[in-house]
Amino acid sequence: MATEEEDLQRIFFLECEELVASAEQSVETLRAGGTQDDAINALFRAVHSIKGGAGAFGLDRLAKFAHAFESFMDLLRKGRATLDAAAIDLLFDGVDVLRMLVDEAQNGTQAPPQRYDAAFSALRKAAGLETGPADSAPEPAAPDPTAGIEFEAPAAAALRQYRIVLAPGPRMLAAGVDPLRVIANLKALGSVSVEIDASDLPALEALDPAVCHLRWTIALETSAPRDDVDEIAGMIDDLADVAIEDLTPPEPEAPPEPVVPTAEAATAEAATAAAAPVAAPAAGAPVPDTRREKPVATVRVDVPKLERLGNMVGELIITPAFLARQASDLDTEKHRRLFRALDEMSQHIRDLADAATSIRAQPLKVVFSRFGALVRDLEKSTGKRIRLEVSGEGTEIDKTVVERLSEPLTHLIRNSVDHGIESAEKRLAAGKDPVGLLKLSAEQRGTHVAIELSDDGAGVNRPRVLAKAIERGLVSPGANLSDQEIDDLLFVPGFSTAEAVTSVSGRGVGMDAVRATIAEMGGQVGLVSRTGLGTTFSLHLPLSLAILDAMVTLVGLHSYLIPTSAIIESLRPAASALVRMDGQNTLLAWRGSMLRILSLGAEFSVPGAMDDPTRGILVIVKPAGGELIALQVDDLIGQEPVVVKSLERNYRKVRGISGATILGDGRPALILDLPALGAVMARRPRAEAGTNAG
Amino acid sequence: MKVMPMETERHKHVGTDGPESQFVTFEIGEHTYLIPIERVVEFRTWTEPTSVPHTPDYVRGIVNIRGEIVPVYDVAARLGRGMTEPGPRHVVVIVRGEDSRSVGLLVDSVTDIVNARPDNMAPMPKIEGGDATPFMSGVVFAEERILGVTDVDRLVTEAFPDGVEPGGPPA
Repeated sequence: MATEEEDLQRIFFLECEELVASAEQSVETLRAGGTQDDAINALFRAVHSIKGGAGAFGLDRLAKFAHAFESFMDLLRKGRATLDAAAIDLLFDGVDVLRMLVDEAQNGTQAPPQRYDAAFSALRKAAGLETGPADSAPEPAAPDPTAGIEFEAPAAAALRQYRIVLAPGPRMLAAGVDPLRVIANLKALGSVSVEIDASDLPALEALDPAVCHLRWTIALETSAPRDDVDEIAGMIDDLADVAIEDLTPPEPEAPPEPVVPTAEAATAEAATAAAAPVAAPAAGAPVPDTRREKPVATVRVDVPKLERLGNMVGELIITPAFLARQASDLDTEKHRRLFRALDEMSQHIRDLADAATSIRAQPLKVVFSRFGALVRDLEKSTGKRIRLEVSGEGTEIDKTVVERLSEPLTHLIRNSVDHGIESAEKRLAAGKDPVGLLKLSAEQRGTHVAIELSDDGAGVNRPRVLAKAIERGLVSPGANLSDQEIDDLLFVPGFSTAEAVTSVSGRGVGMDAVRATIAEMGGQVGLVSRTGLGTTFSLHLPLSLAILDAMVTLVGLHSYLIPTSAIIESLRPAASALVRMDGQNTLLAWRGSMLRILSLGAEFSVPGAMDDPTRGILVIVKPAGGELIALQVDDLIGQEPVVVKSLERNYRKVRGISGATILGDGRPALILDLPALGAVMARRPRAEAGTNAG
Repeated sequence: MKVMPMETERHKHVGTDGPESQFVTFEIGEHTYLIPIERVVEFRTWTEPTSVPHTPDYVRGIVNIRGEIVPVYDVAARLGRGMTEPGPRHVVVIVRGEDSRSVGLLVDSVTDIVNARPDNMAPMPKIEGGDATPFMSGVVFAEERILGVTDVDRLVTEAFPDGVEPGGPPA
């Protein structure tokens, strides 16, 4: 369907805008002589993501250009090209042309051919992809441009229209059956419009309040079977007259196949396919929800209004705790009603908070629906056979999260297809179904949403991962790593087990980008792999970006909050574990490596903060996309979910701080920006070397 | 120095009996200043705000105003009159700028509300090449005195008039 494709493209272009902006920033950082590794990695990831999306949408020129750009970045990253002034100029140029190409793909405004040709050929030369003129070099393996993108039209069960007349009998209300409940049940089946008939209503003197004098005529449009409607009517047939009339206009021709492929059906189909491997390639098709989505009336609301609502609710959330504290020394017997009211109020406020969160929520379907096409493209480009099963796409999560999920999930799916699922021959040899199974599921668990992507492939090849990590110098030879630690290497920047570099798949950039993006949203990525049986990635994401699980720490008299998802461990260090370097730096020996200690008291000039690390607590954190650091605080107070508030709204961005929240006593407290603090640490040792490197 | 052409309120209102404007007066030391009343959201007595690192000293910290995080500026320090040593009798005036940003202004006390007719008000003369009174938008003749009207928009938005991010690397 064209509109859906356009929607997806629109989202891709929005992402491109962000990616190009971030790429620009990275180049700017490089020119200013900032931390090189981070900026190069960030730039590489941005270009890589654009390449991936462009490939999936068949945007050939963009994909080709991004591929050349990426190849050059790869050399820079590995230190095989030098980052001199000419290289930086080339990067600037590259980002510029990249922006034009995105614009070209989006609006049809053609990028100036000379600039394109010049930058393209310069990048290819710099990347060692060509020595002569641009055209003579072989084309990088670009995705089939004719593949385009197609979407399964959602299999719609036929809509039927009913007219239902509900006339409650005299005993209905007395029996405790609410006619409105009946209407609500019908409404759950589809869209409903209700007319009320009050003509039987007697004069006030004659009115018996225990008898219902009203009748309703309900027009129901539903895809649910007639049985469901009859069942609702059946529940009250001794208490009311219910007349059901089917008004659906008869179809002139035979109705289209109403079969919706359920998971079982798809499995059966796959079994058939397995028996006869020439069968139709229905493989990449996602399994749609069996129930068609109901049309729902909607209202457009400005985001600031939603934010105000969220603020006020956030304020309310902490009120019950505050009141409970105030009431804690009251006699519970004497004030029983007060305490009951308090309980009820806090329940209502929790419900209100849930409702406020759900307003910003969007079903994951928005992003899941693009993966059917992606998998089909991957089938074509890899020659592997894959069936994608999607479930739980109705699970809702904050709109911002939905938008940012597409990129990491795309990476994960590519990764599973490239490195997880084996070729049909290998699968047959291993006694497996030649068609690989990829399952993508989502589910809400409390205040989080769990998304899982599992394949039934070969699992992580741990000996090879370890060998590669040693070869890349990520692990010292002879290191004794657990399976989990080896699996974790996949997320280290620059790691890759890909044997061949292709235009669609990556060079190992995907996995660290995935972890970084998820961590930025306050989530976590986990991986469970069983050799020969497959790999499961699980993403754990907060329902709302506005709510963060945080550790409250104390420094001097101030509270600082650390996102719990980034915390590895907290400890009180022994003096023997500390190594003092120069005036600024102290290192902590921890699990065989040396971590830098960042004293929050010193960094934020907090009066009364403890100097001596052995008397405080060190919180070991993993900033998104950075190295482990040990944050020194005076004490830990506890862990709690907090509502994130913007500092920028009324003030401005503050270095090292990502936002603020309001604690139970009504006072604001600051939330740490761990990537920024990581960057502060990363800059330190280079300070002596001079900052004018660029 | 050249005095730029002055546009007074008189030009904007026809006659001298236009609608009256209301101002809240507050004091810092011996000085009295005005804030247009429509900019004032609420008054709070001073409580120590949560301090924020890497900020200039006039930013006393942040407070919670009905679920929003709002910075508190020390107006005396902002005007170059030294840091206030606030006690429980000091007042924080929460004001809202045109861009709907809110800030709290720490002042010694809030004293009065004055009315002014258009012919008793004038904007600040603009002086080329310099800003002698950067946070005043005009003057009001009231109670036989000339009182400065604070430029709330400027106070609210120009947190860093010199464009240097505090705590950032030295230029």
